[in-house]
Amino acid sequence: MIKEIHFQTIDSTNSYLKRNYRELDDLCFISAEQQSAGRGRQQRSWDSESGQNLLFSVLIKEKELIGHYEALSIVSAYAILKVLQRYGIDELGIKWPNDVYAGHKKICGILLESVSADQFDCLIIGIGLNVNQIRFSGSYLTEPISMKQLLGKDIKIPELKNEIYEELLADFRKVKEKEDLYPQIAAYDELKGKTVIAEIGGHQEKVYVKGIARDYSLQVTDGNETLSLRSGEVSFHEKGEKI
Amino acid sequence: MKIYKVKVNGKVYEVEVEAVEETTETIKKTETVKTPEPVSEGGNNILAPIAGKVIDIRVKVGETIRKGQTVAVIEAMKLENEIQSAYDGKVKEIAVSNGSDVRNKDVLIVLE
Repeated sequence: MIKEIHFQTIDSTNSYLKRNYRELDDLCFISAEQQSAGRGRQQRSWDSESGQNLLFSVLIKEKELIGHYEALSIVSAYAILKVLQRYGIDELGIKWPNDVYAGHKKICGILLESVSADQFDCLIIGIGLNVNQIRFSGSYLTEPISMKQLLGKDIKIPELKNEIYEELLADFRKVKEKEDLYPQIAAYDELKGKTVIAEIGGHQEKVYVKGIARDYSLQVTDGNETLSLRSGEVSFHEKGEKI
Repeated sequence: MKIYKVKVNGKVYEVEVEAVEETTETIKKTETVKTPEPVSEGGNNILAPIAGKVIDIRVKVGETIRKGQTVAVIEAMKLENEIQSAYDGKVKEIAVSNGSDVRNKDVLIVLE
């Protein structure tokens, strides 16, 4: 049975879990119609029209699963991608480390957060999927797109949400059971074969992307050596925009 | 269930004996899972639980901090890890700066 707490409005589903994870069950989902302080990576804001998109977070407390956080990050993107595929969306890709792209535009963003005191106490996976919103105001690092824009019709969010919850839980089980999802995930590598600007050792460097590696780091080369990226920004060189 | 007569010290007792099936339990091997290491160890040093980039330091040298207070954030693979102090104490030294790349178990903050 899926455990979910739904809010009309909340500051951020990730922040709610960071405040309350001690009292909540493992694999509890928190969703909201609207977030007053939704955010992406490094405090970037994530704007969403009320009730138009799917905004939720899932709490992971089981230590065995938390230990696989690197896989869970990209596997979450893969789970979303599979559901979008079933809705008939094509040209899907995963932009390392875990954004979902459709037609080279961002349709879904994922932010993982964790709290560590004596150990990793919990892992929180926050997901924002553009569903029925068709106008995106403001400036975006990457052009957004929604399911409605791609499919030309309204999507029923409760059904979509259940399908995504089920898919995520199924893939989390696979991670725990050490099923090899790498070949499927690597097939959707959005950056592979592209020249990008990557932040390496505090500097921005133009590098060629060899692809997502088995340990889910990003393998790039500057022409001399191959580097394995595990953090930092990667932006498309062609457009010169950060992602 | 069977009833037997048993003689103990010259006295006869009726004893009911129940047949119990022997069960064999398989003990599963517990697999060692790569879990992040404790954050605070080696005195009152606060250590990096994962390799990554320091994206926020939330304390200053000389500041008194409480157990459970978030002292820094490390990002790796788009995971923002809030590191809380396991101790009450006073910040003696901040061993990293914003943007530093750290390895697992690197010292982040030294407490008095």
